[in-house]
Formats: sequence, C-alpha cells, structure tokens
Amino acid sequence: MDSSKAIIEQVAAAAAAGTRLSLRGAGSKPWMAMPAAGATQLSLAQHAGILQYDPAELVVVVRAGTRLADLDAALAEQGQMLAMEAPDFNGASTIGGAVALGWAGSRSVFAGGVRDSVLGLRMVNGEGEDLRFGGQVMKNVAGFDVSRLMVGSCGRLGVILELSLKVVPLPERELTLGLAFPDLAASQVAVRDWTGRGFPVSAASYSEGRLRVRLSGRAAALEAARAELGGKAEDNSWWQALRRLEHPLFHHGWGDEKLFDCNGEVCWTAHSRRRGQAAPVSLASGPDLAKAPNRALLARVEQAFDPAGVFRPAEAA
Amino acid sequence: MSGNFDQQLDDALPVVDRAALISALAAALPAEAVLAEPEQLRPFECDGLPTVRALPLVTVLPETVEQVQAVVNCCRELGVPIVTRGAGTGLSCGATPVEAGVLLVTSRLDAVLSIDAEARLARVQPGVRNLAISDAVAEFGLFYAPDPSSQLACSIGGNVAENAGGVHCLKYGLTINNVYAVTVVTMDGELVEMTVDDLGPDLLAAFIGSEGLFGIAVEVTVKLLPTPPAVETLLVAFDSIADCSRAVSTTIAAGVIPAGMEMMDQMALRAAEDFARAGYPRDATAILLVELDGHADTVAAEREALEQLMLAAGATSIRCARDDAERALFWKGRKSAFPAVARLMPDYYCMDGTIPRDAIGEVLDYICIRSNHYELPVANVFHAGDGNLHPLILFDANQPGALEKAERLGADILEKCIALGGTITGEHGVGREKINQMAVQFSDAELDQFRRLKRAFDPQGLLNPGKTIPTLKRCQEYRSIFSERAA
Repeated sequence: MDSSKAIIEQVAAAAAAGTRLSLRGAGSKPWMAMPAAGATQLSLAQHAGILQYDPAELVVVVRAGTRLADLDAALAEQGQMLAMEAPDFNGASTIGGAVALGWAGSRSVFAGGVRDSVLGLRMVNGEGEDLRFGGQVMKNVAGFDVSRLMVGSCGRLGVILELSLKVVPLPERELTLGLAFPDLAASQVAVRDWTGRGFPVSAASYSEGRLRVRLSGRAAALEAARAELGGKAEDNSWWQALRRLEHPLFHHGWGDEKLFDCNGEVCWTAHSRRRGQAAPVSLASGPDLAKAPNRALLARVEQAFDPAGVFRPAEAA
Repeated sequence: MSGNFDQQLDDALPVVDRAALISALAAALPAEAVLAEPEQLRPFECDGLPTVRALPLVTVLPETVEQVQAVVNCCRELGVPIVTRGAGTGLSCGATPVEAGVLLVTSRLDAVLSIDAEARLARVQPGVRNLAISDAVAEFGLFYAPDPSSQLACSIGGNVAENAGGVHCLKYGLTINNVYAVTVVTMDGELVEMTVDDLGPDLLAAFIGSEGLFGIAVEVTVKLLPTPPAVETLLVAFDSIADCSRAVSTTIAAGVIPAGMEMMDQMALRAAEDFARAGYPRDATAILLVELDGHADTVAAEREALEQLMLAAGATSIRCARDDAERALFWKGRKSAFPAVARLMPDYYCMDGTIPRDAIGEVLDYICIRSNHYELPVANVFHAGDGNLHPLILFDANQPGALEKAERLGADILEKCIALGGTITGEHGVGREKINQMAVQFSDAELDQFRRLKRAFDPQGLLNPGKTIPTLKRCQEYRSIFSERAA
C-alpha cells in the first residue's frame, strides 16, 4: 500500500506545528528511537510492497515498510538475495528499519554491509520535503551520498519511504562446517588463510570453542573446500537463527559468554551487540547516539535535515 | 549554456587581499611549500579536463597534517576559498583552481603510514598513488581493489573525493566500498576521524565522493583484499552492438558476476589496438573484455558458463588470455583506450553517464544519432557490467564552435542517461563539468538539501566553491533552456 502522501503530510504538519513524531515500522525494535514526551507516533508498516524488480539489473526498489522476510522470498523466487544479511528481529523487521539501524549481518565482512547494498532512496526530511537521492544503478556519484548517510541514522534525519537495493545471485550451494579452535584469534587466522586461498567463505562465527564457517558458491569450489578444511558439516540453519536472534544466547543468556560473528568483527552477548571499535549497543535501549563520535558535526547534520526537531528523540530533546 | 563560472549565475567569490594571504601562509609554512609566481602556478591551472583553466592566487604544498591545518586556519580567518588537488587526473574539473582562492596540493603527503596484513588494512596519506598501495601490500598477497584507468598516477585522496571506480567495480565496488576510515581536516581546523564502525548516520559514506566540499582528507585507511589465486580473462568479439549488449544482460541474469566486464566499440578497439598492440580483433564491431577471479574451481565453472552465454548471445569469437603477459596486454589495450582514441583528433571529451544495463543498446543507438547530427565522431569504451558509459567525443577545439558542439553533444548524452533512469556521473564526479545537468537530475528541494548538508561541514562555504551543487539561479536558467529544447 502506498502511504507516502499521508506520511509526507504528517511530517509537514508536525514541522509547521512544532510538534514531534516518533517513527515506528513493524515495531520489531521498539528501542531503536526512544520517543520524546508527547511525540505522535507515525506508523510506517503499511507503506509496503515491491515497486520495481528486474533480476537482470540486480536491483530491487521497495517501499520501506516491506518486511525483510517478504523481500527475501520475492528475491529467492528469481534466484537472488540481498547481499546484506541484516538482523531480522522476530522475523518481523522491515527493510526501512534495517537500513535505519544499519546493522549488517553474518555475510557483511565478506560481501559488504547495509550501506554497501543501498543504491538510492526516497525520503521525507524534517520539513516534509519529498526527496530522492542515488538511483537504481551500481555506480552513481551525482551529488552527495545522502542515501548511505541515512544508514544508521535511526530515524534522526527523516523518514525513509523507498529504497533501491543491490541484489546478488543466490549461491549455487551453501555449506556450513564446524571446527574446534582454542580461541577466537586462532579461528580468525584460519579464516583469513582460507579467504586468502580463494575459498568462498560467506560467514564465520565463533562461540563455545567452535568456529562455524559458511561457504557459498559453485559446487566444485565447495567440495574442494570441504576436502581441505576438514571439520564437520553442520546445518545451515545456524545462520538463520543468528540473523533472527533465535539462538539460545538471546533467550536465556550465557552469563558472560560471547558469540563472535563476521570473523570476530561483531561481538554479541545476550544483551548487547558490538561492532569493531565502536561502543557496545544495548539490545534493550538501542544505539545511544549521544555516544557517537563527532557529536558536534552530527548535530549540525541533524539540523540540516530536521531544523525543527520533528524527529529529535527523548534524550536529545 | 556553458558550465563555466559566470558571476550572473554562480555565487560571487570573495574579494581576497592577496598580499595579506601570502604573508600569512608564508608565516605558517616553509618557503618551498608556498608558490605564488604565475609561472609556478601555471602547472596547476587545470585537472584532467584541460578545456577549463584558472590560476589560483597561491598554491600550497603542505608536507604535514599540521601544515594543512595551518593553511585551513589562515584561509578561514581571511575568508579565502580552498580547492584541494591530489594528482590532478580528475575528469570533471573538481580540482580546477578558483581564481580568488588557494590551491592545496596533497602530493607531498605521500607516505604509506602502516600496513596491517592481518586486519587487511593500510593507513596511507592522501597523496599516495592508487597503484602504489597495491604495490606496497603485494608482498602480503593483498591488493587494493578500485582500479581507475589512471591508477598509475591518481592519488587515494582524489579517489576518496570523487568516489572513484574502475574496471573491477562490478565485483569489488567503488572507493566507498573499500575504505575503512578517513581522517579529515575540517574547515574549523580540527581533525575528525570517520570510520565504517561509527554509531549513527554514516558520515564516512557522505564524505566519500563529496568532491572536496566537506573537508580535506589527510589520512585514508583502505581495506585490502587477498589476491585471487586464479584469474581468467576472456576477449569476446561480436559483429553487432545489439548482440554485445545482450550478452552483458544475459550473463548477469544467469547469475554470473564477473570481476569486470568492459565493452569497446569498433572505433575504440581499433584505436586501442593501433596504440597498444593488445591483440584485439580489428574486424569486430564490438568486443567484451571479461575477467573472472577467485578459487580455481569457481573460475573454471564460471568460465564454462560464460562461454556458453557468450556464444548463445551471438559471439563470433572467444579468446582466453594464455598467461599473465597476455592478460596484461588485453588490459593495456583497455586502460590506454582514452589516450589511444585521443590520437585520432586534436581533442576529446570523455562522458561518464550510467544507465540500467538493459538500456545499453538504446543509449548507444542514441549516441550514434546525435554523433551524426553534430558531425562529431564518438568512440565508446565503457564498464558494461555496471552500465557505466564512457563515450569519447572527438573534436578539434581550433575549429570555431567545435568545443561548444562537443559540450552540447555531451549534455544530450547525459540527459538521455537521466531519462533512461540512470545518472549523469558513475565515477568521475560532477565538479564544474556537469554542474548544469545537476539541475535536470535533482529537484530544487534536493539541491537545497545538498546545500544544507554542505553547510553542516563548511558553514562559510570556503571549500571548493562553485563546484558540484549549482546555485538556484543557474538551475532556473538551465531548466528554462532545457525545457525549450525539449519542446
């Protein structure tokens, strides 16, 4: 359903009245943007559907309220998938929410993150202006890259209405191998060695002394990898459970136990996710942008998109 | 209507006290880092698009980050514009000096600061050449993927400013997809580091491709990739442009994503063959150069699939490079296509539109019609795999009106790209060159959002003024001409 007109009108009205809006997609991550007191909820979940999809162009254009699961299914019908593997909380997350959060999934270290999949978008800024940036082609450097600036913006800069996203062919085959390693560092060295030798590694997690590595590609290359890497074949559903946060870790916790994804770049605990050098993000309260680096610059960027503070959340009010 | 600076249409440049500027810079920098004599400034009057030239007031060649900060502080206090220049190989006048400003050249900031082979990252200064990064990390079995044809000369700082691409973008992406962090001197003289891991809006993504309007990159951490163990390069000939275009689409649709897939038409391939002796078939109407890389078993499987697809699309011959020497020769022909075509006429003008892949045939037909209309030959060399065109318009600038005709033909091609759902620039940037077409591709509200984002980084508007984002007045003027022509 196309709700863009209603969404744009609501933002424009809030800007004119000096009131606040709190954005809500499917509600799978209610902590992503803490609403300001008195904020009106702007519901985006109905604004869903695939607008344009030509598999030969490797691009899909979707409304932001489209669920990841629906998008995955539509792409799979044509033998394709999104290159990113963004977390799908409870299997209910929308593509708009996934981009606004910007968390890349297991495939990211080998195939790029959310921002590497975003080719363009349509958005409403804090003044209720209907804007389009980027486009539907892989290479596009006209104007500043606002589409990718929106990745991780947590709803602070505007409402994402539509996204054009890069898609890739589904691999011919996928295979998950489990191998014992004494520590994360040793497993990382092994994975780097395998990628260096051209094995098509598409994911690597480490927990409880076990490395799980996923290989995606041509059958011949996977067979060669299996012969050389050793280990035990495991169920590919491991990655789906990780993506949907359905792993036991997320339900009853492991105390201080950690699960490393993306060959150590992402560290999950039962209560948080940490990527690289960044501060850990709580799974209860979401990214605290007050802790983001370059806070002064970010404040000016927020001002440039939302001068009236329509999307300003509680803690920044 | 020309894209050249016009005080009726563009924002006025500030009035600068040249003597005060020179003495302030001289106090802050070593004597040899400040060039102010006309004969010293002349080599910097243009970038890789030499039809547009201007002399800066002063050229500075800082050797340290502190010196860059000192230049920025001087310019901010005196209200002087700064244009940053890397190696000057850009093709959109992004580094063309501003007459009332300082040209800051990063070529002396050319150190590889550190290489972390384990993390596959290299931290380099902006003046390091693109190819020098791959050379420096080759001993670790690594390389830096984006490979513009100018990679021997172009600098990583310029690559970041323009979000440079190359011939292997189809698989490896552009600069944006291969940079981990950038440290920037902002207009307030501070150092700001932006990384892929930062919380919040992706400032690093916004900085990459900002064409020198947001800040001056003084350190770039690039991601490195393992050198693929197996590579196959195929030279595929066609006797029709339509078959060649179709081969590109059917390959992608079949799920084969080569590392690179380059197309050359007959004029371009003959010029390249005469220039580089690459072994191209001179009688072909068009050729594709396709590269597959990865694990040996993957490459073998994909090569087989690819050959079937090419034959099904009507390929007349397929040759696979026998060894690295022949592969290098195949690529030499492609990478020297611009200078090779340049030998055919005194001047050439290179375009950079991108279109959806299935429109390649249509846009090439259109280019042919417009080429006949303006009586200017056009050679086509481009990144077919990602729909990024590089039509080369040939002309003789000494012929009255020829440059204007070439610019007119270029504008027609760019506007056709927009009409087909594409963009005016895939990898070369807007700079000054495509400033008018920005008014066609973007609305007033979108352009105004760009201006406001620019002010968030550079409130005084001193960085690369007049580039990339046209003024409202220029947009109105150009759109009225554009709609008259369309009607």
